[in-house]
Amino acid sequence: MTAEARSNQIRHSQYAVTPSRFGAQRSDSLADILERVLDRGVVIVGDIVVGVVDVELLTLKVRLLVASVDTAKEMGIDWWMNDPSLSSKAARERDALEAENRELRARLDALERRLSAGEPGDAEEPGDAEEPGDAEESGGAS
Amino acid sequence: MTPDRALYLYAAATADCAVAALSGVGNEPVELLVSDGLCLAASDVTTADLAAVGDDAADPRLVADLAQRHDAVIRAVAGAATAVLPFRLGVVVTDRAAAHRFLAARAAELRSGLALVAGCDEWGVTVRDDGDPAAARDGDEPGQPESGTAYLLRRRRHFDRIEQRRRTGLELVAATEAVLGELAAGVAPGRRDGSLLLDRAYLVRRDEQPRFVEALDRCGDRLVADGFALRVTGPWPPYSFVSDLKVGADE
Repeated sequence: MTAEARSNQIRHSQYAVTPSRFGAQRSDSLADILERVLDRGVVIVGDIVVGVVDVELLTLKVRLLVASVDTAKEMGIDWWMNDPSLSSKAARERDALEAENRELRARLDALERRLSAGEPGDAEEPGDAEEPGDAEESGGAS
Repeated sequence: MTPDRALYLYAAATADCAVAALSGVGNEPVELLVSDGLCLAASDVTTADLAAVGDDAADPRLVADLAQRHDAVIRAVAGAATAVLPFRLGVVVTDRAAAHRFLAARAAELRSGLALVAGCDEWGVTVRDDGDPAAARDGDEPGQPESGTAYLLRRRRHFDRIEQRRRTGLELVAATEAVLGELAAGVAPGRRDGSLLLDRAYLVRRDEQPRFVEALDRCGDRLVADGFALRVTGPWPPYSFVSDLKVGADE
């Protein structure tokens, strides 16, 4: 177990994983990020500073957002969990869906080619045998 | 008075930082302003867009997006530099000249701040009471009618158990703090309210990380056996170990 955890750690980039088993799924959740960037970090004062956002107000706002994150799911406002730009889990799911989509299209194309060519059911080369004529046909279909 | 365009600052870092093309707040490209062994990660920002985030009526997604972009840039810089000092969310200066003026004027403070966190990451650790696992097993309700004495005895056992468990929790948390504190280069209190038994940020040297993670898992196993839940986030850039650095550009 520990050896496995160590090798995971070496394999992955510094900020990509939580090697500890406790904290696994939600280590980069929005609530955690908000909590960290909330009121920490270097502050600059002086005449070079442009007061664009009222930091106190923003902090208050972020606090409310963090407080609501726990109950957000129950309230049906868990939008960030399904938004690929905000949630790494949603992004992974989207990527997996896209990959599955591509694979299904490829299989469908192969089946259509096989049907139009009148091949028997069990072809010897699965999928990637492409004749020029067939490629044109599938290009027209998509 | 407020300029239309200004410069958003993410972090100060050692000048060895080399990040690939990266987009930041408002999808603007992030650049590194280098001067005298230090650098600032910055990107142009349209002030009206940023101001809109703070509006009362603004969609909370805007804050979420700002926070995530801010964090993503700081992580990228942290992964590419010897040391990084994250800036607070929403730090904006007038232009590049102002940023360079700041770097020059505050080089000494920035260097000592960077030296403190060099080679380290931050880990967030909390312990929560998940409920007494023994309580459900024993059951507090009597199966049948009982005498007054039996009732009083049962009540006493109930309160004794609560007190015993409270002590167990304190002891386990103290042991956890001791073990983690010994392996960490720094400790900072968390910002959560009193609902947690422990809320700390630990600054951990990267070469101590395997031992720290092993210790976390060991402590977690002990805590969970008594119904206390350990939760770990990280590794993070050292957000919690720079808050003392409030620097003016011109004094």
